[in-house]
Amino acid sequence: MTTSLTEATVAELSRLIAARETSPVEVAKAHIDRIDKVEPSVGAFITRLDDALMTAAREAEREIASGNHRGPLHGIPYGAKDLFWTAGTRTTNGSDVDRDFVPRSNATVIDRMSGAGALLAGKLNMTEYAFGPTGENSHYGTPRNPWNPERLCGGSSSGSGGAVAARMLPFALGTDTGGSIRIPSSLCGLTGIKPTFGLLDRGGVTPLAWSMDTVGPLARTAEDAALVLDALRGSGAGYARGLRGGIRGLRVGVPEAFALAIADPEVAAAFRAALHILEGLGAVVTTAEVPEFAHADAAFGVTIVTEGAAAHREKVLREGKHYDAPVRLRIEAGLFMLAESYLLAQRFRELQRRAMERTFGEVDVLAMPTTVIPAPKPGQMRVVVEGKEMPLRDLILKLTRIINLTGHPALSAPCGFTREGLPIGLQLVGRYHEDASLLSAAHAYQQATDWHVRKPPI
Amino acid sequence: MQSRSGPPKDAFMALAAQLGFDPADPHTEALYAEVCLRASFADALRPLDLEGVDPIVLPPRPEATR
Repeated sequence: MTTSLTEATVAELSRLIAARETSPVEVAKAHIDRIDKVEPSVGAFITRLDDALMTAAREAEREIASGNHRGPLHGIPYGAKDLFWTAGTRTTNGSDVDRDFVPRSNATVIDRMSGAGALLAGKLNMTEYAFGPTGENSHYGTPRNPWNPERLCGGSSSGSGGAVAARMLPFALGTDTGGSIRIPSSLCGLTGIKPTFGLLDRGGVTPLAWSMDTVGPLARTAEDAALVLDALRGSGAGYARGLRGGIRGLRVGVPEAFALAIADPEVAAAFRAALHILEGLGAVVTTAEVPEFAHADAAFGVTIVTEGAAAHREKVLREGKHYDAPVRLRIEAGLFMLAESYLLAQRFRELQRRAMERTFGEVDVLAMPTTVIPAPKPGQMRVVVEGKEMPLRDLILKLTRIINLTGHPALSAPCGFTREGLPIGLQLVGRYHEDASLLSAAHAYQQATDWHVRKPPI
Repeated sequence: MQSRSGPPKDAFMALAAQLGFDPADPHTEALYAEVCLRASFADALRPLDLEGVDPIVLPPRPEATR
């Protein structure tokens, strides 16, 4: 039973608990056993909360037994990236500087999870202050990818990706400023959504870049992501209820020239195969180029360091020597950016937003790979794709950061594996506040494929 | 005419010193390179036609688009 409980999705666990075929205590114990077994080889957790989890599980069990079943997440364990403030529990932000920071209050989304009856099992590893896409962390160790321990989980929500992929947790919360939910989802074989900017409250979430930071779930299926998003939004959101519709007639646009200009051939092949599946389900796939994407990296590079410096100024000037060296450099560089340069980047963002709105007049969603390469190795700085050597950081962020500039919702779902067994992600991008359409499309795709149910060898 | 993006090195070092950085520290040299890299990103945007385009500042909130 222990194994099957950790293999079960959120939706399956919820049904088992509602039917009294298992209990929150059994579910919590199974996941703690799993964490004991595999965490040493993954390193997803910064702080485990085993005792608190068991106490909360017993309380949930009593509540449910007395007829007060709060909903689909009641009694389900989860983890939170360690930048969500948790009252009385340290919140390190993945940094040595905040090793002993204990907030007095919860992040709004932590309270939302508690209200839904979800059980916090631990605080999860991450890139320091969420500023980096690989998930490497010199302070708390770098999480290893459950599909291959020689590879990275991706970041910055690296522990969230590793923990859910390794079946230590059914789902986790992350944040996404340049791809930090979608990249680990892609590299770890998960389904993760960066909702529309502003959809979810960021109170009590340590900021990196205010105009792009977005909270969202990493889960194994689109259905699970919808259930978590329902709880994060509050009653009546209806994302999970809305999954039943198919995608017949859905207009899928592919910015092919930009997205596949440089892509690992196995990633490109898996992506094209995913498009064929979508077509088979009734979607209409066309080319939809957005020329502004070609300049988005520049606008992103200006925006994130300037806002990061504004958020971190006092701390980095005081404690800079205790930061990871690359993170420190990025933040400090923002101290020297001209206001005129920042506003230039913001004007470009508006230009790109207009271009995307025009595109969304012709298609319903954009599709592209989430990352153009599979999971890289720790310490890797450059990567060779089709004979061309590129900086790893630029490649891994290429197709995700463009969407943070405009705040459209974007989702990553597994769409294949390399010959080495590394996951590949399909990214779908939608109109503002059409997060439900993305979840429905991914759900339909997952009814026709089995990439999302495959298990890592760990 | 300056060919490299970013502030002149002596101007950067003077400003960095005001913020508490040690000009003799190799880290400050690395920081100058990062600042020039970031400035080059802004320079890459300058040729674009942004006439009539106001800064986005923040993407639309739910109430603005529903």
